[in-house]
Amino acid sequence: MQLSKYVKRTLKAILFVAVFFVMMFVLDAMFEMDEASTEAMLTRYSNTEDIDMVFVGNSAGEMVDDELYSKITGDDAFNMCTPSQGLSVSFKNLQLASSHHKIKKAVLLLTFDVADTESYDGIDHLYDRVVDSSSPFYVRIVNIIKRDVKRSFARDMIGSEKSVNIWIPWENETMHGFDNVKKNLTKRFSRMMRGDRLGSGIAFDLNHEVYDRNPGRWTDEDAAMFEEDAAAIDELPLPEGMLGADKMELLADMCTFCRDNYIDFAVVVTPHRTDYYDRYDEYRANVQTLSGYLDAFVSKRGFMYYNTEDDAKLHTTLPDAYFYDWEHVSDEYKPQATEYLAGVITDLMK
Amino acid sequence: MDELLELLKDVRDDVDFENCESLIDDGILASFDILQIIAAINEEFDVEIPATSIIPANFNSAKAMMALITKLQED
Amino acid sequence: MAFYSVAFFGFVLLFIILHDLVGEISPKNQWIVRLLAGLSFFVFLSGVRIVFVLVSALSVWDGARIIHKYDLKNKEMRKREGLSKDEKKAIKEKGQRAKRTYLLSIAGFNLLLLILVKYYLPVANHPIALPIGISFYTLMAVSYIVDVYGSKYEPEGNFVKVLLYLCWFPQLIQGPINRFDTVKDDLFSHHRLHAPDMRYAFYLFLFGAVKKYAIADLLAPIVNAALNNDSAAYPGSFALFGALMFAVQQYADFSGGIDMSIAVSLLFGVKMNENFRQPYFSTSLAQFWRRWHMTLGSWMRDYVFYPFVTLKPIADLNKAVSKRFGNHAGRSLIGGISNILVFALVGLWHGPEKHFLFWGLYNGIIIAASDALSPAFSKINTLLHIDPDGKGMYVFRIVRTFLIITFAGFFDVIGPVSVGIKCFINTAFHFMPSVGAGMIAQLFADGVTSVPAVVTAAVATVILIINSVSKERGRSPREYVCAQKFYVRWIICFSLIMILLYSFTVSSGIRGFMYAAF
Repeated sequence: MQLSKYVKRTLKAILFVAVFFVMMFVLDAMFEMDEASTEAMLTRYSNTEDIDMVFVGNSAGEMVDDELYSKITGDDAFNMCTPSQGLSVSFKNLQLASSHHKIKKAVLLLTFDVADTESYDGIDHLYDRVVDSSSPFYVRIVNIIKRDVKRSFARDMIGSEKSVNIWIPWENETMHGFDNVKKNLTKRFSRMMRGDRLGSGIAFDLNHEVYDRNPGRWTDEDAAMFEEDAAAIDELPLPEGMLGADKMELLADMCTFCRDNYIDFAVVVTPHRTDYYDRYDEYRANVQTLSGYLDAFVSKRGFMYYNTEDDAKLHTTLPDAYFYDWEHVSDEYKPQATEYLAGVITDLMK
Repeated sequence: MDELLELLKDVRDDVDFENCESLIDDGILASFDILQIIAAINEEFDVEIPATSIIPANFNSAKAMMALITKLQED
Repeated sequence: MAFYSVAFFGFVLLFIILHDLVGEISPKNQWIVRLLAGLSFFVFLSGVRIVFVLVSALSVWDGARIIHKYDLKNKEMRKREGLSKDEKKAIKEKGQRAKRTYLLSIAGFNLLLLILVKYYLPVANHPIALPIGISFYTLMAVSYIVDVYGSKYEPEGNFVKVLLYLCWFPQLIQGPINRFDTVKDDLFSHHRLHAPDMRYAFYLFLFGAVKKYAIADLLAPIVNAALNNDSAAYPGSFALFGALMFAVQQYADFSGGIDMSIAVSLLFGVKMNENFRQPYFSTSLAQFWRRWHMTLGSWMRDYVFYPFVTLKPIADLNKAVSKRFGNHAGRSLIGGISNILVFALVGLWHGPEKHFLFWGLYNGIIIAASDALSPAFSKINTLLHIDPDGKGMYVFRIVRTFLIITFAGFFDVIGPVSVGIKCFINTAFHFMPSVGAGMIAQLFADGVTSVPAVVTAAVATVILIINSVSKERGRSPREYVCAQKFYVRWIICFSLIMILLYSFTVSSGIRGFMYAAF
C-alpha cells in the first residue's frame, strides 16, 4: 500500500515534468522565429571554403549573386544578406565571418528603412543551433545545457529573472506576440513534410569567445565623435523606422571593428526603382539629407559610402521593370544587378 | 459589572455589550470607540490601561474588559 | 535579487535540503538552519552592513531582558509585608518610570538608526545603500521590546533567536512586518516537509509571480508614462487613467511579492503574518488601511496610535472636550489628530520625500474627516431614505473608497507635490476625454505598451479578481484548487505558468519590487 502510493507519486511527478517539456516544445515551435533563411545562409556559408569578402544587409542585398560577383572581380565573395536583417545581426555576421576567415573587404548593402536592432540573444541561439545541428542528439543536449549554465550563472545574470528564462528558448523570441505563430508553424510543418534538415553538415566549430562579445574598442574619441553625429541625426525629422541614433551606433561599431581588423569597409545604398523616394512622402528631402549625412559619418571613419541614387546611369542600367517592388530585384535580373554593383564597388574600393 | 455596562452604553448605545463576545474581531467597535471606552474606564475605575493592553482579547466583551480592570486594580 | 531567479531558487533549494537533513538528525536545532539562511541572505545582499541588524537585535534582546527583570524585582518589592496601598503605588510608579525610560532609549535608538540611514544621510547628501529590510525589521524590533514592556509575553532568553526573528530572510525584501508572538512557535520549532503545505506554497508562489510579472510589470510603463513630473500638462482623463492603472499595479506588485515571500517561508514551515485581505473591497478608507499592508497598519495602531491617545495630556484633552461638546466632538478631535499623526508617519515611512508626507496626510485627513462627519452622513441617509446597509450603498461605498485610493496615487507616484495637486485639478476641470484617449492610443504607437502586453495583464487581472471575489465571499480558492483532481490542478498550474512566461516576452523591462526600496 505504502509502496504503491510512492510509485504513483513518482509516476505523477515524471508525467508532470514530461507534460511541461512537451508544452515547452510546442511553444518553442509556435514562438521561436523560424529563421530558415538565415539557417540556409549559414549552412551554405559553412560549406564555402575560401571567403575574403562578405556582403551583409537585408533582403534588398540578396540581389547580389556572390558567385557571379567573384567571377567578375576576382574576389572570394560571400553574400550573408538575409530578409529583415537588422544592423546588429549584420554586425554579428561580419564578426562571425571574420572569426573564421581573413576578411579583406566588407560591404553593407543598406536600405534606409533597415530593420530594427534585434536582440543579440536570438541570433546567438540560432548560431548555436546551426552548429549543434550536425551533432548527435545527446551531444546537442549537453552543448545546450553547458551554454545555458554558463549564461545563467554569469555574475550579472544569476540574480535576475533572465537567469531562469534563458532555459526557455522561446522566451527570447516572442516580442511580436502571436503575430508570427501561424507563419512559424506553417513553415516548420511544411519543411517537416518535405523532410528537409536545414543546417545539416555544418563542419566548423564556432569559437564563441571570438564573436560573442561587443568589440568594446570604443575610444573616448570615438564616443565624442558619435555624440556629435548622433545629435545631428536626431535633429533631422525622419519617418518612423528610419535610421536613428541606436542604429548609427551599430554602424559606428562596425566601422571600429573593420578598422581594428584591417577590413576595407563600404556602405552602399542598394539600387532601387525611380519611385523609391516617393515612399517617404513629406520626408523626401530629409531622407536625401540623411544620405549625405551618412556619407560624412562613414567617411569620417575612413571608409566609403555610396548611394546608387547618385549615379545618373542607375535607372537606365537597371530600369524599373527589373524590380518587383521599390527595392527588390526580381530573380531573373539579379545577374544585371550584380554586374552593376560589381562595377560600383570596385570603383569605390580602388 | 453594571457600572461598566452603564459606561459602555454611554459610549455606544446601539451595541449589545452584555452578550456580544466579539466586539473587536467582528469590527463592531472602531478604534475611536475604544479610545472613548478606555478614557471612561480610566476615570471611572481609577486605573490606567496601558497602550500595550489594547489588544482584541481584552476588549472583545464586557466580561473581558472587566477582567482587565480587575487585574489592573489588583496589580 | 529577484525571487524569480536561479540565485534565489538555488538558495532556497540548498537551505531546504539542509533544513530537512538537520531536522531529521537533530529536530531541536533545526531553527539554526533558518538562522544561517537569514544571515547568509543578509550578507549576500548587504555585506558588512549586517552589523546594523546585529546591533538592533542585540539592543532589543538585552533591553527586553532588563525590562523584564526590572518588572519582576518591582513586583517582589511590592509584595513585601507591611506596605500600605500608597507605598505600593509609589513603588510601582517609580518602577514604571524607570522601565519607561529604558524602553524609550532602546526603541529610540533603533528608530534613530533607521532615521539616520534612511533619512538623515540621504538628505545630508551622504546616501548609503540601505541594509536590506531595515525599514521592516526595525519596526519588528520595536514591537518586540514594547510587547515585553507591556508584559504581552516573556522576553526571549536566547540572543540568536531574537536575531532570527529579525533576519528571517523571506521577510527582508518587503515585509511583512511580523510579530514575535505570532511567528516564534514556527520559527523555533521543528518542521517536516509537508506535502499539502508544499503544494500550497507552490501555487501561492506561482500566483504571486503572475501578479508581479503579468500585471504589475506590464502596467508599469503605462503608469510611468501617465504619472510623472510632466503630468501637470496632461488632461485629467489621462492622469486619472494612469492613477487607475497604478491602483492595479501597486496592489499586484506588493501583494504578489508578499505572496511569494509567504510561500517561501511556508516551505520552511514558518507561517508569516498576512498582509492583505482583498483591500479593494473596503467600504471606507479606514477599513482599507485595515486590509492593505495590514502588518504596517496594525503596527502603527498598536505602537503609535494607542500609546499616543493614552498619553495623559491627550486623554485629559479628550475628557475636557467630551464633557463640554459631547462624546462625538471628543473622539473626532482626538481620533482625528492621532489619525493624521499616524498617517503622516506612514507616509514618511515610505521615504524622506515631501510627496510621501502629503500622501500620508491625504489619507489621514480623509479618515479623520469621515469620522467627524459620520453623524452628518447618517442624517443625510435618513433624509434621503437610503438604507445604509443595502446592496446599492455597499457597492457605492466600495467604488467611492477605490476612487479615493486611486486619487492618492497622484501623491504616491508623482515626485513634485504641486504636479500631484495639478492632476487633481485637471481631473476635475480639464478632463478632456478625447485628448486622453488619443494619448492612450499614442502609448501603443510609441511602443510604451503593446496589445499583447495589455491583453496578458487583463487576463491575469481577471484571474486575480475572480480569486479576490471568491475570497471575499468567504470561499477559499486555494482549498478549491487543492481539492481538485490532479489533471484539473495541472491545467490551472500550466495555465498560470503560461501566463507568467508569456508576460516576460511582452514586457519591456523587469522592475524590482516597489516596496523593496522602503
